[in-house]
Amino acid sequence: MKAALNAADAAWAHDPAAHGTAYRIESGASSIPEFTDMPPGIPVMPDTNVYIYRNQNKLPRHVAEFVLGRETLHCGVALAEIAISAGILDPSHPMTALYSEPLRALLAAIPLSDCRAPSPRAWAEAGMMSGILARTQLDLAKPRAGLSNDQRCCQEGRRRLLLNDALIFLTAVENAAVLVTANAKDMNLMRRLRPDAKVLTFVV
Amino acid sequence: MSGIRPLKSNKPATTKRTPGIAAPRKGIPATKHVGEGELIESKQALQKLARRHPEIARALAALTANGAAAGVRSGKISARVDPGILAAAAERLGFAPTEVSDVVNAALAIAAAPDSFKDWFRQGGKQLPEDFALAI
Repeated sequence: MKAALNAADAAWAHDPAAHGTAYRIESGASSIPEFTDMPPGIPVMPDTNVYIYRNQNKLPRHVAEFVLGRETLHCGVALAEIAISAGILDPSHPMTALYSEPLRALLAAIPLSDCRAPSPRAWAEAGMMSGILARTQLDLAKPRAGLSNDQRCCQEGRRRLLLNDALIFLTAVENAAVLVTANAKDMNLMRRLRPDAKVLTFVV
Repeated sequence: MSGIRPLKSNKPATTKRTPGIAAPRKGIPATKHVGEGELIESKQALQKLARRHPEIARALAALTANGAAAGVRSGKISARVDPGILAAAAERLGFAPTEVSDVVNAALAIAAAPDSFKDWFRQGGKQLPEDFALAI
């Protein structure tokens, strides 16, 4: 990537004018790397879904072995997605502990020294990337006038979720880590904008 | 004769030393047979070691916290190693190939340091209910 001198340089690393239409999705996907292709010594950064699938014993064995065999870096954005899921629970509800205790135990196992946050440059770039993808790929740029309140709210929520995905994606890039994720659709779209990213996807 | 020391010894087979950790003298704790000066020197060496690489610092901090690290280099070991691995470890951790004690101490600390996330990952922790969904 070109050096960014200001926030516009960081954001316009992807020129929206150059992304007018949807990408053609190639069949075969021969360029998508496999777990066995990844050279040793590169750290791994799990997407939020990896932690949850692992807890629920749904993570494929080869993915678990891949994570166990490498240094693990954790993205602050993924940790926030886990923490909000605990914070939102009603503490007076009798079932809350069933959900909040496993989440707390997971976060307790993650030393902050192994966590990484997106840089300001990554924030700006993530915003541009998710805006472009929302418009060109995911049909999330419908005019507000034509939407009901619920639809408007849903569209904005999905854009924010996409922004979070872009932040996790770029945090992995900034730390030269392999991003492991079950969110193949969005992360592979992002890989189109940042082909230097190392992303491994899996199906549950 | 110069160069590599011969492996064969003239001593009888029964007295042959095998690689391992030198046992402390009977009744004396391992750290006691180190002189005061040496003790301070080895503490300083460990502190210096922690400053060399963040991974070493993290490992030593975790081992100090759980009581495994005594903070001194009082144990003496003799071991045969693959020189290629020793050189690679020195390079990765930022040591000169001649800083053998530092490389061994750093490598041992990294190997011994607990990894709470990997422990969680192996066991999975207390399972979330099947209907759990992330809030966002």
